[in-house]
Amino acid sequence: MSTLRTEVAEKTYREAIIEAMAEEMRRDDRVVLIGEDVGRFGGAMGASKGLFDEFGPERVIDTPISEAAIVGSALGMALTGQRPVAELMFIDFVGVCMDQIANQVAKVRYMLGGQVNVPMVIRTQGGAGKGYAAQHSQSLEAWFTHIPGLKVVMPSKPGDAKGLLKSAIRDDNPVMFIEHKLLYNLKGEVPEDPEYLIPLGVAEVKREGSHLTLVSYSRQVLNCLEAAAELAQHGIEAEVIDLRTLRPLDFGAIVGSVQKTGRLVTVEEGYPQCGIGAEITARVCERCMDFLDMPPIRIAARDTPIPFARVLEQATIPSPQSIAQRILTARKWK
Amino acid sequence: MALTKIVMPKTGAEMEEGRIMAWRKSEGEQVRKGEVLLDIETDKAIMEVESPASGILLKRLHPEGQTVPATCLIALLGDGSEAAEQIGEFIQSEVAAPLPLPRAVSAAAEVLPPPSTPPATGRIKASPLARRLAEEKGIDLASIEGTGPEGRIEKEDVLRAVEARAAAPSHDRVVPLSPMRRAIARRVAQSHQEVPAFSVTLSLDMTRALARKKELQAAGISASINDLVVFGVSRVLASYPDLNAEFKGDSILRHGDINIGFVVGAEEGLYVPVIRAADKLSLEEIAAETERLTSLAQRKAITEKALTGGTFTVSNLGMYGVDSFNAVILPAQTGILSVGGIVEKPGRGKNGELLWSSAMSVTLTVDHRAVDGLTAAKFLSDLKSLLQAL
Repeated sequence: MSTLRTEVAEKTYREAIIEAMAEEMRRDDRVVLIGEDVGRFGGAMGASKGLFDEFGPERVIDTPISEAAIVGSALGMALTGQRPVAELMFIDFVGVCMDQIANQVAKVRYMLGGQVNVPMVIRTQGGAGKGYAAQHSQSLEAWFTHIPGLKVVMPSKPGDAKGLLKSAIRDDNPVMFIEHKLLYNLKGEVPEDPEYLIPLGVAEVKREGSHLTLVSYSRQVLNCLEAAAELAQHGIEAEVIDLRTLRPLDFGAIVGSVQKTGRLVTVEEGYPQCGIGAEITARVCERCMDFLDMPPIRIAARDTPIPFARVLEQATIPSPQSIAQRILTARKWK
Repeated sequence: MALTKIVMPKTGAEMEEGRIMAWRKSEGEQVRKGEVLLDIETDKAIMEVESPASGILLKRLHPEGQTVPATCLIALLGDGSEAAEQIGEFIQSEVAAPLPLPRAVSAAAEVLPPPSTPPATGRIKASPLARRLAEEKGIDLASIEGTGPEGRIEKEDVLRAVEARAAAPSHDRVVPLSPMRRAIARRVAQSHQEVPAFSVTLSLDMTRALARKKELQAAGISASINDLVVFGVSRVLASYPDLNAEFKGDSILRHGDINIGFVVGAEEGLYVPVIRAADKLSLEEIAAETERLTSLAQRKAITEKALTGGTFTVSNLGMYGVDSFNAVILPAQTGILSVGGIVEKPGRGKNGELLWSSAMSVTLTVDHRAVDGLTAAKFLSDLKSLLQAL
């Protein structure tokens, strides 16, 4: 990570994303943004506000409502020398362009024997908590982490969002950059340096502890930090690891922590079966069995569509309280 | 049929945990209401837990030897029609934090590991880390008591065993304290530390008392020697209120009732059942009461209530040929009488003739903060007079 200047400013997650794209578009005129309402409207989530004014319709492209066309066009742009950032308004819509992503974007370089690069970023957002119900609140990152040929990145705070998005745009491989709808207004320190980059594939320890390892990403990192504060009142010091990149997974960071604490807890907002926690748990059991002092715990959303009613929606996804309770009741803490 | 919860009973206000000594019914076995499901050990006694309902014992949640907090779920009864999922869900809802919502219909609400059944054979539950550590340190897992869920041995347990071994030579065996032993240890240590104990011994002639015992036997009442002593003590105590009291630091609380505890030995420790208002009971009634309480204690069916509220205690080791001894004063009491065995002793009569007496030595140990030697001596003298005139 290079940081030539050390000034930081407090910005929102949304502003950090706009800034990352603006800086990269200024730096390299092959970078374009394409998606629904990204231009004149400034983005359904406001995440491209001001870009159309600065870069114009040739570089900030509004599309019809067709995710397959968005991703397919972006792939074409990438194959012919541009560096597109394609936006999918809701990750829930990815089903209609899954062939483009999984079969084309992820595989074309491999199938053409390395003759082409696909330097594109697919930005999207997911997550529950706004009462948008079952088809607009999902966390489907597990679908993408399953596919060889894709990278998957999920920032939890503004500074990370900027540094990771810039690295994703500069990466010559396809990157799924998944934001969270409840994080857009989150404020945090964002370095001003236009060369502030966070490498992909590197996790970060957000909180140190010696009694257990909490592994999470995106918004649940905030819930883990809150749960850790409550656990500390009971004398339990939790180490919180923010994966930041889900594929490739920084497994070394996880191993190092579990060898220290002997206890693994994964926290995600996706559905429980075959989720990110399942992959991490399997790998930890394969590689760190002799360091485990208790069975790993997976905390995820309930195995149900996200409800519309606010109270039910809250109870469906992990919260700081539910995370702390699972841990407190897992064993007799002394 | 709704599932019936069986919980670790809270046998007394201060009881915090109990140990499961033995399951008396197996999973899948039919149980009738009132039948004994299991034996538990509290810090005071071993007791039987009866089933509150009839049904099939679906699940035993904890193995023998496991200590469980009072009011925690230990077993489930049903009618046998329940699906495994339903049982598993019910158990998870009991042990996890309660949520303010009705459950989802699908089986897996959250990704939780299924409740594991206790092993059928003697396989030891230990975390992989604990196993590796135990192997590295050369400690046999079977000798370690696990404090993790379901008695799982965890790293901390192994480290504790390593420390214990460092403190003791290698051929010794570390035996964890049972709740009863722990409670006894705590009480006698406290008594030893806080109470300045002072003992007075006296020998008395039990000839008349033994004759009285024979009379009662002929009338079909079996009274023990200790019953006679308890009877005597109950009558004499009335004149010595400071011996039927509790030392409170800046005052002495003289009890209105005379409740005499008597020590009953058992394999696992000892019980001190209490004869309430002993001074108001006849010798026959005292004999009947001690027999009833002793039987309950031996059957491990004695209640916590019957073991509390004593104001004075009698301890007897005479049946083992003991001459005399000084028992430890119980908490909140000011005196204890230790009774030795009866020995035929020669003595000298009024006219110098040889007389045989059935001599029994009694030792009164008192809390010197509340009771002086003179009082103790007078008490014994009165007791002697009473027993020798029965």
